[in-house]
This record gives sequence, structure tokens and C-alpha cells, in this order.
Amino acid sequence: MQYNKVNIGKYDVHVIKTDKFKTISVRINFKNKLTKEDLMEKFFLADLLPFVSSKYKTERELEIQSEELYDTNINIRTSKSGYYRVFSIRQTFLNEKYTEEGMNQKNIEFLKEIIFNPNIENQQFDEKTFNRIKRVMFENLRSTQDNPRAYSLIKMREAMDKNNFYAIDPFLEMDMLDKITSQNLYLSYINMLKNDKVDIFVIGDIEIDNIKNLFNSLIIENNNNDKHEHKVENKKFRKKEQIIIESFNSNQSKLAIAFKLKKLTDFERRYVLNIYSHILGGSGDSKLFKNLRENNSLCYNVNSHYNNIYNILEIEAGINSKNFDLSLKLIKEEMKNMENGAISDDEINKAVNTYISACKNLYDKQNSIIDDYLAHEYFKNDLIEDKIINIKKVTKQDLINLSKKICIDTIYLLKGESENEQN
Amino acid sequence: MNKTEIKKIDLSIYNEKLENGLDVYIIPKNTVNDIYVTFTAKYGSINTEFIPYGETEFYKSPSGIAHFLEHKLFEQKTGDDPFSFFANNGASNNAATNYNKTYYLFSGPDNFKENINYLLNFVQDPYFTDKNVEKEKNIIIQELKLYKDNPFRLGFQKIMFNSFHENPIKIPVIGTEEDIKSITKEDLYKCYNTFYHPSNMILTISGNVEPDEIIEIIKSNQENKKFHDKHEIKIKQYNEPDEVVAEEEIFNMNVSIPNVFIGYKINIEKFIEKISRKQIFYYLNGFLNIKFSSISKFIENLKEKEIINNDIDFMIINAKKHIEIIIQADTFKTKEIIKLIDEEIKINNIDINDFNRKKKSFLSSNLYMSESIYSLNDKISNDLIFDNEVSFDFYKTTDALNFEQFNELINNIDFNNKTTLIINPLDACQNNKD
Repeated sequence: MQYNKVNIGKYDVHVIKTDKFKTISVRINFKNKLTKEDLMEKFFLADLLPFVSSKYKTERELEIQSEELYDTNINIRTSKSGYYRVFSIRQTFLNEKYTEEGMNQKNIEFLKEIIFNPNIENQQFDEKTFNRIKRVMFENLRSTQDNPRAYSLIKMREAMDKNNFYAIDPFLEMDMLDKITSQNLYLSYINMLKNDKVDIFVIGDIEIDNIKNLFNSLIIENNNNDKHEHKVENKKFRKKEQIIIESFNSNQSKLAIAFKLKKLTDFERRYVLNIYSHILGGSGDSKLFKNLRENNSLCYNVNSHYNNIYNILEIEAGINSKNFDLSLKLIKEEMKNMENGAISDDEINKAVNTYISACKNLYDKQNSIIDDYLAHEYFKNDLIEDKIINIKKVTKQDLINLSKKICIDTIYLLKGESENEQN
Repeated sequence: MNKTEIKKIDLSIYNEKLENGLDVYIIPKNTVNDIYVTFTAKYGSINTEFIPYGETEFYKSPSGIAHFLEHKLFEQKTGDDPFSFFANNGASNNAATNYNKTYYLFSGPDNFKENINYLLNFVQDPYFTDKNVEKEKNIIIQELKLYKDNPFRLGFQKIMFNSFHENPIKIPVIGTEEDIKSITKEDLYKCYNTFYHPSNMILTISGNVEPDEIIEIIKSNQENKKFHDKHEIKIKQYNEPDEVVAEEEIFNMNVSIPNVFIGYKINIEKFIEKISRKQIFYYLNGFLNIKFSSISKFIENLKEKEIINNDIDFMIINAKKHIEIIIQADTFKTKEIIKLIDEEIKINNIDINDFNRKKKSFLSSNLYMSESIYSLNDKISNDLIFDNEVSFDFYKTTDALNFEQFNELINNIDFNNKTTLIINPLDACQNNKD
């Protein structure tokens, strides 16, 4: 595997040449400072862009073309990354060695067509398509209410601190989304081409010169020299946890707990936190799984996860609400015990070994290889070899120190109204 | 070991049936680091009524027992925890049950020998006690409640329940709450002894392995173990009528927009003599795709008229002599969409270009699949369970699909046995928009 970063005019093309895969994957990332308004526009744009092509006028024509190209797969997503918003376009297609000669070029041309040649009239996106996509988007957002897990996490984050970037979610911003017009979305798109930092990644068995030619002269200006860090530090901490209980028409109650992390070092954010969360609730062998599920039969699923850009740790479990107090008590006890040093070498080894295996397996998928280089580009994260060396340095004392920097913030219970019915 | 090579896609498949009957498949793929292993019992939730090993009379097990058994095999006499063992070796493990199989798996790039021995040993050494069986019940009931809160899953279950009279496929894999509560350790041993004999199991290894090395590890593990004699498993056969149980159901739950499901129950016995079950699936899948995915004019039209916003979903379920097609859409125009889909499915207006494009797409999806050691692995046990043979030559399979045969099948399918389900929002005002 060979990595090369080539500057083509105003943007960087990162080429990872490898013959391990039958496919080629491309990712084009547009990055800029996060504001709520821009984020909502880019959420909308991610849904709209594939369907508003000037060459493929209808969704049907687009689908037919994608089948002609042997099921090329394009998806666009907008995500938050600390102080930044990332608009990310991904494509995977079969290397022409397995299909027909000329397909590599045709696939990339298709992608460029979708991104750079939308159907514009009078400085706005085609209104009919715009309205249709808006309906789809609203239908999907409303259906968040059909999913108790997703709903409970969004509401918990909102309750924690609704002004924190971490809490922003399109489900909570439907009013703002509703106000977006085809004109201002077009401006937002143009603005992105002018002012975003752009990185293009290509991975697969393809020559660098070919890629250079294919991505030459894109209409990207990239006037962005912003080098601000991505990570967001918590500044406000609650003296006492808040408990919020909401009723919901479901068979199971959802318990979600959020913790804010206080001034972690980079080593803690990148490594210690992973091991901590793994031991606490990251596997079928974790402390929470053993205690809540196996010893007390309180739940089927319980886990912890974290976001190390926003410095948040979360725990969630599906329970019967009559066991709310007991579940909460057991979770707090496990965390207190960890703070007091109840962490065995065996537990640390297991978590470290799991992390190392996961690192090795990153090389098995094109998108995880891109993710790895991207995290290096954005956050200066270590690449895989260094990750494997560094994770082994995590000690019990590191985990105890980290425990003391975890501040409980919000406990949220989505109480199932039909949980005691047997049907 | 038998070796089959498919040069065009750089794939080799090794197979050996061990003396105790265990069927071992190995797909080496040395371009990846990971190794994925599944140990599969050809025993799923539909095998509810059978003659237990060593007995002579049919026995009807509680529903959900195959899945319950899957949970309980993780219990070890020594108190060891398989999750803990695999995590220690940097591997992850899990298990799953569906209608037709139960499988135990691990994946991890290192410590293969220890891992595979452990997997074989824990699955082949059951330890059920009254106490450990009892404690599992609430965990599984929580799992069941989790599924009941998912409208798609619940709709699917109701369609199956309303379609089938006798076939146990009518009951969800997880079982009913009442049955789960009734399960005893004796029930579990009966099922285990009947279905977990090596001759009813498949071991599949895919990923970064050397076949010659690992077959020896597996053999030496199995040679040291004693099993009862191979036996023929007698499972009760049902005389399932072609008609559905109930033609419609409407109910309310927490959904933001009504969910509409249509289930078509199709008898495929008369086709099976001429076309393989697998080909029926390919053709039907292509047909439904051309008809009901975003590639179809029909769907384009529904979107244009604002009857639907999102795409509609469909799936095909194998139910012995029947196939169940389930189509699902989200819309406030519930009655209208049922009528429109029902009219559309009965018209075969597929042209040869659509058909050929689907062939292309069929080849691509298989090539994508062949990139994943997980999908390749799952394909082996599915092929064996449904077709008794493994087939990986996608180019050949694709070439064999032909338009005449396709038309003959589609034109002769009877789409008249259907059941519909509407899940309406709880809020009554929203129901009146139809």
C-alpha cells in the first residue's frame, strides 16, 4: 500500500494505491466552520445534490445510469466534527478489471457530474426536485419519533446543553430547515465550492497519473486557510446531575446518561478513553454487561460509547422503568469502583487486544483506510502503526486518573407506557 | 480436501466432511487481516416439532427455543465466559438465530488456533441448570420488547402470522412471551441433542488462513470428542394451504406516518421441477426490483403524485413450498397504495433491456459480496441449507439467467393470496387523511 498526497492547484488529492481490493473508493470532503444555520443547509444539500443533476433529470435516470456503471454507489452525508462541519461525498465502484474497460473513468466522470453540474435555473436549484426532497427529508425526520433509541439520545443531548454543537440535530431544527429556500441553498452550495477546505481521497488499484488527470481543474476555489483545532472543551459542569423523565408509547424504557469529560490530555482522549469505555460498557464482557444483564437480568442491551472530539461519554440501556433506580445505582457503583482502582490487568489486556485487532482490521476496508488518513489530516491523529504502539502504554493509573475527570451531567429516562403489557 | 477454484474472481473454496459428519468449508483470502469463523447448526426457529434423539414420538417444543438455546450455550460449567475469552485474544464473538439456522461466530486476526478450539468446545459442551435457564428469561423478554417497539419488525411479524396456518414460520424467531417463560432445561437438552450433532452442522472459515494448516487443527479437535451415533432427524411436515389466514389487519402504534405492508403467499411447487429455487429467487428479486425500486416508472409516478415520498421496500422469504413476498410503504394514502401495488404486481411489462441491466447489476452485487469475508462465509451456510450445494461462479450463474424462463415464471405466478396490514399512528386525527 502506497500513500501519496498530491496538490492539484487549490486542493489536495490523497492517493492510496493498493491491489488488495476489487473496488475503487473515492471520497471528497468539504470542510468549514460549524454554524447551526450552515449545518442545516448542508444536511439538506446532502439529500438534494444526488437528485438534482442537470444531466440525469429524474431519480429514475440516475438509477439507470448507476446500474449501467455496474452498481456504482454514491452517498453524501453531512457530519459535525467539533468546531467544524464536514460535507462528505463517497463513491465506491468495481475496478474495470472485473467489469469493462473504460469503467473507471466513466464512474469518476459520473461522480463529478453529480457534484459539479446541478440543475440550476435563475440562481436556484430546480424547484420541483427541491420540494420533493424536502418532503422526503421531513418524513424521515419525523420518523425519528418511531425509534425510541434514537429519540432518547437526541433528547438527552438537548437536555444536557442545547447550545452545545454536540446537541444540534436536524430533528430538533425542523423549523429552521423549513425556512430554507431553493435560492439560499444554492448560495450555500456556491459558498461551499468557494470557501471550504477540500480533500479528495482515492483508494484502489489505479495509477496516480490517471487520478491526477481525472481530478484536474475542478471548480473549487478553496479559500480556506483555517487551522483551528477540531476538538471542543467542556467549560460548564453541573454541580448536581439533572434527571429527566419523559413518557413514550413503547414496550421498553430507554435509559440514557451523559457525562462531560474535563480537560483530557491528547493521550487520554485518543487512548485511555477508549480502554476505559471498553472496560465499562464496550463489549459483551464489560462491567455493565456483566452486572446489569448477566447478574441482575435487568436488560438485553447496555453499553457505553464516547465522542472524543466533543469530550462526551454516554451510557444507554433498554430496561423496564421499575428497575430505573436499581440500574442507575449499579451503573454509578461500577464507575465509582473503577475510580477506586477496581480494574484488573486482565481487563486492560482484553481492551488493548481488542483495540489492536480493530486497528489491524482497519486495513481490510477501503473506507476505514481513508478514515485513518483523514483523521491524520484533520486531527493529526496517529496512523495505525503508532496507534498499536501507543495503546499498549495505557496503565491502570491512567484509567483511574481519567475516571476522576468524568462528570455526570444528565440522566434521561424515556418511560415506556406499554411496558407491562404482555401481547 | 476438495478444492474449487474460481479464477476470474481470485477465489478458492476448500471443503472436507469429517468422519463425525461435520462439514468444513474454508475460503482463504490473504489480502485481508481478519479471520471470520461461523459454526452453524442447521436448526432454526421453524424446527419446532420433531422426534427428539433417542425417542420415538413427535415432541412440540415451545416457540423461540432455538434462540433461547443460542443464548444458553454461552453458559460454561467452569463459569468461564466466552466473551471474555475471545476479548482476551483480541477477537469478538457473537451468535444469532433465524428461521433456518443458529450460528456461533468469532472474528479476529490473531490466535486462530486457540480461538477455533474454544469455539468448537463451548458450542459442543452444553451446561444448562434450572437457575441459569430461569435468569435468561427476563433478558430475552427485554429483547422481545425491544423488537416490539420497531414498527417494521412488528409489521413483518404480523404479516407472517396472518399468512401461514401451519408452517411454524408464522411465529417470530424470538418466540412468544408465554412460551419463553415456559422453557426448561430439559427442553433445551432435547433440542440440543437432536440438532447439534456434528453431522447436522457446518463450520466455515474465511479470511487470512492457510487451509492445510487449519483443517488439521479442526480434525484433532473433533477426533478427541465422543458424540452419539449419527441419526436421521425427523421434523414434522405441515400441510400448509395456499390461502392466507387473514386478509387484512389494521392496528395502531407509535408511528409518525402509517406503515403499509402487503404479503403475497405464493406456492412454488409447480415451478421447482423446471427451475431451481435459487433461480426463482433471482428472477423474483429482479422482477420486484424493476417494478418497485426507484428505477421503475410506477414508483416515479407515485412520487410525482405525492402518494409516497420515500422508496418502498420489499423482501422475499423462503417458506418451504411457499415463498412470501412482503412489500412495505410509508404513506397516508393507505388503501390507495394497496390497490395500486396489487394492480401493478400482476402486470408483467418488463422489457429485455430492463432484464439485461438487472443481470449486470446481479453480477456486480455478487462481486461486491465476494470482497467481504463475512458475506462469503454466510453465503456458504445459506447455500447448503437451502440448496444442499455451494455455488460461487457468479459469471456462470449470471449467464444462465434468461428472459424466456423469466417470463414463463412471472406470467404463471398466482398473486391472489395476499394479506395486508396497516399500522396507523396513535393520534386518531392523522388517520383521516386517506
